Amino acid sequence: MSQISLGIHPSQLHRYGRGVITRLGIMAFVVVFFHLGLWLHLPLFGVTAETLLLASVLSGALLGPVWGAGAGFVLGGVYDLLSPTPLGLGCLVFSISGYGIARLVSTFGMTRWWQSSLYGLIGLLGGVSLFASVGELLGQDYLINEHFPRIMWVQAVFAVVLSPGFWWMMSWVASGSFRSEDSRLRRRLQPLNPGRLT
Amino acid sequence: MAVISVALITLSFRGDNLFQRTEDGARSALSSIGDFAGSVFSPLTDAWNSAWDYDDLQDENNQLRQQIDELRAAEFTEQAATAELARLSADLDLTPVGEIPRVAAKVVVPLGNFTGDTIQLSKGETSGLREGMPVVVRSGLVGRVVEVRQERSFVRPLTSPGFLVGVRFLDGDYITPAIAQSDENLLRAELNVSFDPPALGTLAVTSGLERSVYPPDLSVGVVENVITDESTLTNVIFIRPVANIENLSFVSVLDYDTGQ
Repeated sequence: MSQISLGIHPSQLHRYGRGVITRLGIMAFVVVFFHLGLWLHLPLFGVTAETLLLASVLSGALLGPVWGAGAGFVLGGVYDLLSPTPLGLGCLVFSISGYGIARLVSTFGMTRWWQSSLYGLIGLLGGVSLFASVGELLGQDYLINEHFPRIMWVQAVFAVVLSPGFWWMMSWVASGSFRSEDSRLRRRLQPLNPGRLT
Repeated sequence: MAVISVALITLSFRGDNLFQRTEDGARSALSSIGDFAGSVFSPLTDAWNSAWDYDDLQDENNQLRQQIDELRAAEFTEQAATAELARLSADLDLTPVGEIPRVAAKVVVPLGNFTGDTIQLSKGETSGLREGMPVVVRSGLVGRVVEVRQERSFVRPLTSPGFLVGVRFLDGDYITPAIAQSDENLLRAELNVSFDPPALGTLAVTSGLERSVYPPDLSVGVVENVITDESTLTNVIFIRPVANIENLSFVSVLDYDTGQ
């Protein structure tokens, strides 16, 4: 069974090319640009999609724990600058979310594109809950209020719908190609061992 | 990364000046990118919002039309009351609210799911804002400035739980503290049962007690409900703020000297 997650460690960077950093930077800018210009202005039942967190989580799912935590740190920092919470809270929570999902993927695997929605869902709901909980511990007592359940279920909808798109984008960051890693591995391995990957 | 995050949180809470300036600079840069990105996607977001918010906009339009009619009717009464207030203020050597120096500030509309319990203003220290200044709109008191940065400031709104303001009811002479409740955006005041409770709809204004942080006679809210608590022998008065805290665009920050 093919593993889509690459789990690139920085020490192995030369094997995959420094293009990963460049593509990760471009991805981060595109995600921030779309978040600021589009997603923040498209509320569903008064709730906006936490796309910065979703991108962090799926970075971890496809690139591994180190890069997931790194992308989470940067995108969490941007999130902090957009919200009234203390600077560093988003960095901490998004890093943990990216790292945690990467660990989950390395344990349970990710073999089909639709599993991105599942990991996106777990990561987004876990990340939002962690953000609100840690924030409350730090005295931000407005984070968990009567709107919080609504925020959670709308985020679940966003996660399921948006994750495949983000996964597609992350597969470009990981491999330099928009073709899915799954089909790339199939094409590479089928001539050697036809019928093995089903 | 966890260590750096915790260090950032610590610096953020300590309120280091250099750190805050760097943070403000980064926020401004991000805000510029956001403005540009917003203009790029505005046709799409406008279409989305008009599709979802059409009914709300229609309701809001109807409410605004009704308010215009009410304001026209109240205009004549207000003229007479203003003249009376000016005469009384002159007699008592008081500074009418209208004559207190003020700074107009734009309210920064919060985006996202966790928008905080404060109102962010587009002006700060460089415009002369200081902590503790009262913030008003034409209809009445909005809150008080609680944090001031170089180019922005934060206001604790009247409806924030625990917000305390001394009020006086226009149909009586008694002054009592009113405290914001955690639900329904109401202020709660208590009055001994030996006093006649204010009638429903009575306007509550700032008390104007000596050393109060608010100037006297600023509209705070109207009495929405009165409940008698037999166990404590008090009338519990619920006040609905007159300022529409949820939909603010511009506010005035009063440079009011409390004399402290």
